[in-house]
Amino acid sequence: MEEVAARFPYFMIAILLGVGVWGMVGKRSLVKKLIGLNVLQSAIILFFINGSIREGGTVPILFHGEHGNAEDFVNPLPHVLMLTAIVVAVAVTAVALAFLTRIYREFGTVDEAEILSEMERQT
Amino acid sequence: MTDRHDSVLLHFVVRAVMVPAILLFGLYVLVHGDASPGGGFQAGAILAGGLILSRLSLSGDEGRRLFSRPRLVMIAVLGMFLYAGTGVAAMLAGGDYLDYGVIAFESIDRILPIGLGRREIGIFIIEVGVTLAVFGTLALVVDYLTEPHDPEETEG
Amino acid sequence: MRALGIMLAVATTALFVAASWDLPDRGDPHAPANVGVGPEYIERTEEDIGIENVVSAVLADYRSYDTLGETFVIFTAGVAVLFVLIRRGRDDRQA
Repeated sequence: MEEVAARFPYFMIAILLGVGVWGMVGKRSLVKKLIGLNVLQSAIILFFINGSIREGGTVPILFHGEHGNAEDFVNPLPHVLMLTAIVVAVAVTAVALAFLTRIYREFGTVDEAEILSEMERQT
Repeated sequence: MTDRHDSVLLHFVVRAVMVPAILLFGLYVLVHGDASPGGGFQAGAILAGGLILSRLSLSGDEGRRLFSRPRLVMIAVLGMFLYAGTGVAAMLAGGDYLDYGVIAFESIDRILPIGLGRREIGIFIIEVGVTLAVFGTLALVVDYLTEPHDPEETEG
Repeated sequence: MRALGIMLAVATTALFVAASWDLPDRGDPHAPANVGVGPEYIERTEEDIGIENVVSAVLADYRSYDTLGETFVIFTAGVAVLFVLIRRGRDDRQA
């Protein structure tokens, strides 16, 4: 039971990963696929943030010039990396939404199967 | 733009309460980024959020004229130049690229005696650059994505 | 399609749960992620950089090349959106 409690965050992250993969593969609407991609990215970000936690650590801010003692703070490196990962996620989402807008203007739908049949009809 | 009937209450709440508070909070997050949680990316996102709120809820507001699309592109480019230019300034001062410690910021400290370290000033300058770039890019992207769609222009 | 999605999702979850037994416990101070360069940043920020927020110090000074590339990424995304969605002859009227 102790083992399971120590791994509880990993199980939640695994469920989020599954939800993301299901949204990306199992859904037909391209918008829902994009939402699945975002859920997957959230799972990865949560995984890294979970790895930064140190028992008894606080936020990595040194108040009033105190000397940093590594045992008192959580690991700042995953936070920095995930900050950049969030920015990449925003950029990917923006470009994907732009393409989706263009696809909707072209075909009048964002459904994968309907777009494919429409493309076959046009050629 | 389509003609929307602005509610007086919405007008008041958005323009007089929410947008100033959001923009002020964004500036706070930027300025205190070195001493509390915050920084360039977050401040840019919050500032863009305030602008987007005023654009989505008010028709024909000042934000649309003040931050037109060419100006948003210019803001983003200015932010990039501020960041990369700080690195080049460090090279001209004799150090490595983006090594702010060697830039002589004494003139800034003479004008504004705030007692900051050299690296602190360099970090603040590049945070401002990041904020401008993120603010301009996000506002531009949302501006393009929320453009109304005319069905007669569909090409397919 | 739907069955494939559910199968893949269950497989991913099961794989991650199985792999999590080899991952370190939550909050383990001796986890491999917590003994590398991360503690160095906390202990050296005070004399190297001189600002309070260690995350800002790492983001904007130790790893400023990373942040520069990051800013270029989001700027490039904005330019890409502009070129995908621009409509000739209409933008000068709207802008």
